[in-house]
Amino acid sequence: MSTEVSSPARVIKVEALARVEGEGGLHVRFRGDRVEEVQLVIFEPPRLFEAFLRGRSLAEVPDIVARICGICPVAYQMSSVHALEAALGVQITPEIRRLRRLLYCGEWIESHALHVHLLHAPDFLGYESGIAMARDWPNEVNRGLRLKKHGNELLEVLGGRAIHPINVAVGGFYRAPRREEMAALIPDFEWGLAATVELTRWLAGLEFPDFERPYRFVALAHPDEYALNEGHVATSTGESIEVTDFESHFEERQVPHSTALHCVSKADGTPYFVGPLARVNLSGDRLSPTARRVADEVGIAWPSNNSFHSILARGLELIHVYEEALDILKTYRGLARPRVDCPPRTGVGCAATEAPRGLLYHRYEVNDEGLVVFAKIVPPTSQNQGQIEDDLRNWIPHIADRDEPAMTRSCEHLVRNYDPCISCSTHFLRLTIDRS
Amino acid sequence: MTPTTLLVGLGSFHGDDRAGWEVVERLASRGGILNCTCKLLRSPGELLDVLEGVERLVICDACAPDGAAGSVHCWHWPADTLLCQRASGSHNLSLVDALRLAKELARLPASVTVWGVEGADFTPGSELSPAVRDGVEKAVEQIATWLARPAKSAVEPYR
Repeated sequence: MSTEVSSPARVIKVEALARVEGEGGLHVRFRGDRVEEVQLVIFEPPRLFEAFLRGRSLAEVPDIVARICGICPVAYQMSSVHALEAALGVQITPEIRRLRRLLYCGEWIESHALHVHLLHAPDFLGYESGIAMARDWPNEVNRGLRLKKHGNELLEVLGGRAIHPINVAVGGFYRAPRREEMAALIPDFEWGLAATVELTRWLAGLEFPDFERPYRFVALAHPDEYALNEGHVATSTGESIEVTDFESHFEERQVPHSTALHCVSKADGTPYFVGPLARVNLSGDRLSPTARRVADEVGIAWPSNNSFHSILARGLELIHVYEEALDILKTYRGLARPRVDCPPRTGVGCAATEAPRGLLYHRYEVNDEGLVVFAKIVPPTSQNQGQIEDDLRNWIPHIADRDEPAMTRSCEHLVRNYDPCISCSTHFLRLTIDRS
Repeated sequence: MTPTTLLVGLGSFHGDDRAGWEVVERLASRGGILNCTCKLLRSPGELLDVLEGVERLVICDACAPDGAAGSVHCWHWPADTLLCQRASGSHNLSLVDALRLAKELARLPASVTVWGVEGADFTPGSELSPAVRDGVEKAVEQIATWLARPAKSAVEPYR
């Protein structure tokens, strides 16, 4: 498609992009097929959690940071406790580490099952919402709800409640679940594992736009496991970065149109891509056996540079977390000591874990009274925002011949590849397309 | 025959948002409601998990301030007043969206009634405001009377 200098600029404006978490908007202005401006406009007020934490007891941190997000509270809890334990020089036991992975499995199930079935599948199938889709695809929507419920139930057993769990402590857990509570979850998780295989095969049959880009993927990687709670920061350009060096390689910058910071590569100021697709691309060989087998049969050449394949990556990760959760549930024998001692001392510690939406970095400075002196939190959506804008800039020329409602739907579809959590990044979305 | 009834209180611990819980707790403590189960839920999405075998769903919830704190409202699904409500969140289903989704999935009971007590103060951690406390009492009396009617009229609109 050619661009004529005299062609009028067009503006597409989505006042409220649905099916994302948080409040913001999107403004797009283009002329012909030339994009002049793309802004992910985040107008939700800054939430200032890092400042709230200063002067608070470090023991309160996991419960305070959980409030950053109702979808991924475990992620905030996990990054915070690992960072604080690093600051205190505390080593947790392998049993606690394993239960933390299980808790994370529960959150990934809740988040991915909801996003895949009710938030993102409607884009691929041409429905305005999961509710509209339910009329024609009741079995699929019922499956999503049932899977999400499994995640909720696991969080209730291990975390004390499904939203904003209350059982996570610096050093471990306040209470170890009883064996019978955990064993009672096994039949549902066996059903869930089979259902997620069926889900991922179903997802592979969706129509994926042909949109490949030279992304720089960034995710935690671990030599022995699919990274959830620890590892090094791996990139698709070959770097392996210690988490302690994260801030030497990546930085948050202010942009005028957003109350959320944009995180970029420090070396060249370019955006990068975190989340399920990054993880599968970088650590697909460490997925569970069933997930690896399904990854091989879905007809995608991994690694994939097509952000629309993110929904498939979520499907594979669902298989993985069900398989891993089952293994932990079946071998759980109780915890004699659910928490290790964490005597206060002056220190600085950082940690990164993999939230459902991508890498989540925390750094804390604490004093010898056990109080937080400094806190820094870099959420996944802050890291993806620049990449979303960059994607839209490159996607719009492909769809510029469509009418505005169709363009708007397509832009929203692309944004939802990233399952952005605006609440986390500051934090509703409005999209405007300007062809003025 | 009395329909299998589920009485749900929706709410939270935050000020007048607990009105739905208070109404259901008081009705449950009175007893004498035939063939009725009571549940307190925090999120409308949870409704989807508790509707199996339910013939009559009665939901008690706080509703947004509109200048008459403590006033009691009653709507029968699918009342226009309910249907015009916007979703309150993005990843969490609003009450109306939860009911719509339940309908599409053939889980919605034949009779759905929503009782609302108009709130005033939703400050986190605060108690019920005095006007809403009075409203809760009024709602309890009205719902108890309504539920005690013969089964046929109990599923008809409240007047």
